[in-house]
Amino acid sequence: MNKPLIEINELGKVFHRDTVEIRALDGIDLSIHAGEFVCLMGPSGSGKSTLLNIIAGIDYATEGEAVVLDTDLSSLNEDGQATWRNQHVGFVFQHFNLIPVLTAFENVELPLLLTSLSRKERREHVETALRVVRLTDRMEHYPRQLSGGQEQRVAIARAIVTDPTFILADEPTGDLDAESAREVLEVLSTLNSEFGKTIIMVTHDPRAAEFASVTYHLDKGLLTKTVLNGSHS
Amino acid sequence: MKFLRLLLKNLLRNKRRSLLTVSSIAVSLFLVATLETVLTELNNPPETPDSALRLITRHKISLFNALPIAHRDKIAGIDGVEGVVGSMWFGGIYKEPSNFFANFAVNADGFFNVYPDLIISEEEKTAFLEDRTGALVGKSLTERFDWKLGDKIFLESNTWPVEVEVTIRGIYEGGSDLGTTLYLHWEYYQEVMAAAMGQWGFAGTFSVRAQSSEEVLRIAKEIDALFENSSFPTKTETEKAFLLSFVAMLGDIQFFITSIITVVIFTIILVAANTMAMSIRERVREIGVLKALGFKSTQVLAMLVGEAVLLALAGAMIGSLGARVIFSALPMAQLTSGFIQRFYVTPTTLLLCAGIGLLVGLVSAGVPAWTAARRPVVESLRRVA
Repeated sequence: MNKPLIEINELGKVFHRDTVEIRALDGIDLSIHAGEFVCLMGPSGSGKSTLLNIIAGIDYATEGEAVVLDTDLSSLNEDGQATWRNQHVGFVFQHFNLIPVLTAFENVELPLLLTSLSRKERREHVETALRVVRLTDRMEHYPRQLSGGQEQRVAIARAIVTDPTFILADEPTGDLDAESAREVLEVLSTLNSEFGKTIIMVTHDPRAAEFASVTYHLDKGLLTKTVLNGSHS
Repeated sequence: MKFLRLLLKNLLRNKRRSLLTVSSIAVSLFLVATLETVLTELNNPPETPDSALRLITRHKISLFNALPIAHRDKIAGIDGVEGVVGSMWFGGIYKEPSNFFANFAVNADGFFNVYPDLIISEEEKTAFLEDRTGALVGKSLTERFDWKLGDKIFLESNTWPVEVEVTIRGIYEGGSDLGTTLYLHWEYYQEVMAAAMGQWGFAGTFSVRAQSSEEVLRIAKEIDALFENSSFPTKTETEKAFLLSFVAMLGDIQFFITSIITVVIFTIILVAANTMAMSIRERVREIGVLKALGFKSTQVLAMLVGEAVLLALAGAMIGSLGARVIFSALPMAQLTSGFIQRFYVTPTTLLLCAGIGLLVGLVSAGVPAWTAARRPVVESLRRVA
């Protein structure tokens, strides 16, 4: 098998709240390969979002290591992590997190502002991304003029516009009705199957997990179960 | 430049708040521009090339002590003196005390030699010189009181127990007083004063014109040396220095105005800081999103501070340019009864206001922007908008 895209060894994360020590992750070992659609499931407080954040380089582990794309993220400084995220990571959040004063086009264009692309090239990239999520007709609409499902598809377009190595989605269907959720999951599934994007998705929803090729269950910071294509391992 | 659109859109996110902030900064900077212009004008009285050649001689003790008119001939005898004119404050009131303006009795003969910078036709010059009860009036005054040539003006002095009726024989423009003064004949003044108070032969000041600028300082020293041991010692200074001495009479007005400007700046910094803190606080989550997308802390900081700077600069420019436009349209000499003859908001004042705007922007956004930009991404994303 190829070298994993993401390799996590003995990963631990401890939070301190006043004098209380909270262990969010404890000895996690995990390998994710290019092209996988990974689902992280577990109850609230199980550590799945913390694990996602560490893989994304927006949080840090207190124990063990997370090597992503051959880079030990803890070796990068804050600016280095920011640049790394811009180049390799596409984010999809539960609450969409679009900038309300920007149009769909401008929201999608945001990550490209950090690149050296010309205005024309940026426009081409944005239009392509919006075409993938089937929202080219909503380019000039503001988030308040879009439905929840459309907002999340704009967020997905923003996540893929830089052609990142992998997409991280934190409860992407958490704020959506069933129909919109299905649309969003289909888009993610297409990105995985047709464009070969590696996707790591945190969710509570078992129906969402069905779109993934592998599901990791976490509980109280521990990796408790791995499910491959519906069969237990 | 590619971040400018993002910056502008964020600025206009809450239009009412931005408008109110810009307005408060604009009003404050209008005040700053006004006060700064007061200082500038007080410290820089109007000058003409000829005014640089003029000296003013007054009593050494104070302006309120008069000098014998006989000093005039002695001063005229000093080498390098082109002409000398004695003058005395008449203090004439036209109709009512609120119609205040400067009016002096002057030696008409030689007056135009000492004040060649007054713009007036030869006919009117002659008409003034030939009529002992004639008056020479600045154009600004004629506009203020709707006077014209030939009008008879009745002036009751509030300084002397006399009154005069003069006829306007000449209207001048220009000069270092910008046409805000009335001059009457010394002889006529002497006549009414003698009738009221007996023999009278005193002048308040002498205006002395030097033949060249190189001789100005020497002449000033020679005049004062000439009368040093007399009963009426003198103090001679350039016209500009003489005018500035009136500013000194107002006390430490510079300190007073500077204090007000400082308080105004401090207040607008507080107002702008409050606005920026509110604006940034409600965007913490968005800032987290930007950083998650790859924006560096320094880029976020620059954008937030840039917003504040743009806002403050807009207010500063509206306020200071507004002051410039408004004051250039107002007849300030008339409105201030000649106390302020000119009120021009200079490019230096505009630059000062822009600098204050920049300072307000930087200081007001500095702390909240730094705090928000440095906040960890995860913590920012957890914030509920």
